Amino acid sequence: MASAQKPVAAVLVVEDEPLIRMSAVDLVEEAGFKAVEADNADQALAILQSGEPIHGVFTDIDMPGSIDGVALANVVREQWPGIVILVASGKRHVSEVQLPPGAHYFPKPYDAKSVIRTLEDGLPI
Amino acid sequence: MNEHPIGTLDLEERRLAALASYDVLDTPREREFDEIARLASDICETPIAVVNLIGASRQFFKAEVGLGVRETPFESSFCAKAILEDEFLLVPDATKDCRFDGNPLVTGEPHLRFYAGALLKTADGFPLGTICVLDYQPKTLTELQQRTLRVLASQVMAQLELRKVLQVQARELAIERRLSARRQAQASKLGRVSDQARQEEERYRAAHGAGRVGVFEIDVPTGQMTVSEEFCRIFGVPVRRHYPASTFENIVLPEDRRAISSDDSRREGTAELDVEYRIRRENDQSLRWISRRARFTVGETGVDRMIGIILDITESKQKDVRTQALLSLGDRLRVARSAQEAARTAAETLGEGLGVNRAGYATIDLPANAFLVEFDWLEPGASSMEGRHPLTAFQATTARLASGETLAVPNIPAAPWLGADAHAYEAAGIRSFIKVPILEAGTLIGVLFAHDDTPRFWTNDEMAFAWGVADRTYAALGKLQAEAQQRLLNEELSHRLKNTLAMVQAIAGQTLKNVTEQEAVRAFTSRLQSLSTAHDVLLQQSWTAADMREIVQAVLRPHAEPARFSISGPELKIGPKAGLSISLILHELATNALKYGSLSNSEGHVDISWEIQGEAAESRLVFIWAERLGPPVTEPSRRGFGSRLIRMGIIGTADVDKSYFPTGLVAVFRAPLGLVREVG
Repeated sequence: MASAQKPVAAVLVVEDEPLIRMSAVDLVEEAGFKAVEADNADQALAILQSGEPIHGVFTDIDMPGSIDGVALANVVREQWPGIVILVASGKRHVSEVQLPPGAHYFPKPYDAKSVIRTLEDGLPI
Repeated sequence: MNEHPIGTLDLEERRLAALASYDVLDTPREREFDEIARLASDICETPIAVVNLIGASRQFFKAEVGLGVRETPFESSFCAKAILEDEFLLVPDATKDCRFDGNPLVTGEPHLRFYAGALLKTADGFPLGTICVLDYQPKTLTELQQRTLRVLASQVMAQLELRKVLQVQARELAIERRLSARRQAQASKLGRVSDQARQEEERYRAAHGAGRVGVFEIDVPTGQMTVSEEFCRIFGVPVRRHYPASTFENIVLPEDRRAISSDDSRREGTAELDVEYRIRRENDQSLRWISRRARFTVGETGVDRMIGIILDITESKQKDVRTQALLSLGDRLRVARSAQEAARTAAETLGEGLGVNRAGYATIDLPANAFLVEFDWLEPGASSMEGRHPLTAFQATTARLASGETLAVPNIPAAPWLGADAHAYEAAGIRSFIKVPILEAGTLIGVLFAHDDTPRFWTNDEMAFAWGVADRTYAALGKLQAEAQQRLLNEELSHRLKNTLAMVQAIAGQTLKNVTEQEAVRAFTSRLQSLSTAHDVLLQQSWTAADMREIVQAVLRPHAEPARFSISGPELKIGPKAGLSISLILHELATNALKYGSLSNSEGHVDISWEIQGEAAESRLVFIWAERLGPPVTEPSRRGFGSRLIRMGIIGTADVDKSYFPTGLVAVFRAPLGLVREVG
């Protein structure tokens, strides 16, 4: 009876501001996914490269480190094309050229419902 | 004439200095002067005509017809006498005039009898000589012939002035050469300079023919015209003595032909005498303004001749056009949205106003030693210089511009100070230019330029026009820069504000994590979002005004599909306070509608509309939220923050009517328009 239990999809939350990261993690977990935390893009890349299974990346844009969230999104699209990408920022307009195709953008403060909806639509449950 | 009365000594010295400044004594024959003498002889019907200059105890004939000599003894000069007289001296019969009856040219060979001379006078009033006609027979001149002789005298002066300008320029060139000679060890060759100056004059004349007088005579019965060389140049036709009048009539713009004379109106003597009209000059098709003044002569059989002069008055006409262009440039620059647009507008105005091949604005990057032409206005056929170029090929030009000097170069090969720059201009097909520097804090940052592929003189008007364009462009660029900085600052502030709102959202989320009523927590965070949305819309106008429709659309977007809403109302800009207030109210209305109202089922709908009622100070905004096709609703008994917010109305006016119809809620908000539009 060892059920072929489906593993829970994992979302990498990348945000340098701990409070905001905390609530983003809550949001991801509330939606029924596993949250993995990184406080900048470099750390996020290290986690991705470690081979830990990640199905979605939810990242801020302005963060300290060698690359920002936009660059991270592009690297992810390039190297791990299957991963769902969500980007949030206080910037008013993020031109679609900067973000890789298929990435979702949320202006801060973001609407929890639309973030959850996007995760549910894009990730295997 | 050897002894001057004491009082005139000074005057005579000054007169001679004025004459010397024209540097015309003992110069070779020149076609322009010969032509005038020929015309004088033709029109006055005398065998002899002379353009005569009176020096110190000598006279020199710059041009002559029918004499064959360039100088005659001063003592026997009629003109030396004439110069003491008024503007005009007429001696019908010298043998009967006590001033001349002892003159050896009258008493002996060649037995001159008739003399008429018009004074050549500088702008300062110094007499230099005369243009005169002589005959072996006694005779007189008609009034028209006399007037023509005076006109020809001013034509001679115009020629002398032009020569002088060219010579001053040549002298400046010579000085330039001497200065650069230290480096180049190259002596200036005056002969070459004056050759160059003469060539320039030729080209200038060929290109413009402006400011000169053309003379004509029409034989009315045949319609045949006799015209001066200048007349031909003004019309841009090959120089010939005779043309049918129709040749010139066809060059006049069709819409201006009403102004000119025809065979009929000449025969009847009804043709207007003083007219202005436009022509499309034959040789280069350029549009010129002509002023014509004429008189009829009447013979036994009626009008037999029409005699007159024409002037190219394009310059003064263009001056009006340019004044107008500057005015409209100011208006256009005021509404320019970017530095590129401002530069483009300036380039168009300059190019059209000067009638050059190319005009534009170049951004100068001195540290990178490069310049960027983002846009240039071009005449058909001219090639663009758009793009980034190194400044290395324009070192001399840049050095002068950097010192704040405006450059107006009529003929590049004749401007030795340009040095190696001349090659770069030649390669680009540029022969003349105006460049106005734009400096910021003493550093050259931009250059407004006009290029032409032919040599051309830049008049004071044209220079003033270029300055006018540059000044206005500079002001506009400064304003745009300030606005861009403001925008950047706003964006940055907005970014920070929104990060702060995100923090507040996170804190609330964490603080209220264990609150059982999660509904309240969500209500709070979604209110934060609608505030942030309104902020975005307001930011687009730098927090001065927002578009009502945009606010409504942006606030409602997260709540439901656009198809569930109808939005209608006139275009309306609202102030930031009203923008925030309406955003929060709409958010509450939409939230309620989603929970209980017409957005809670699948077919309900909301009509949002607004209108302005009343006039002037009484006018008010009426904003209506009307739900329909929702489930039956009743007024809620509990009053939460949301319903209190709605009751407060737009900007706290509390002017709200809420009606719970069976079909759905209808809420009507009213607020004084002045308050709604208030900025800040």
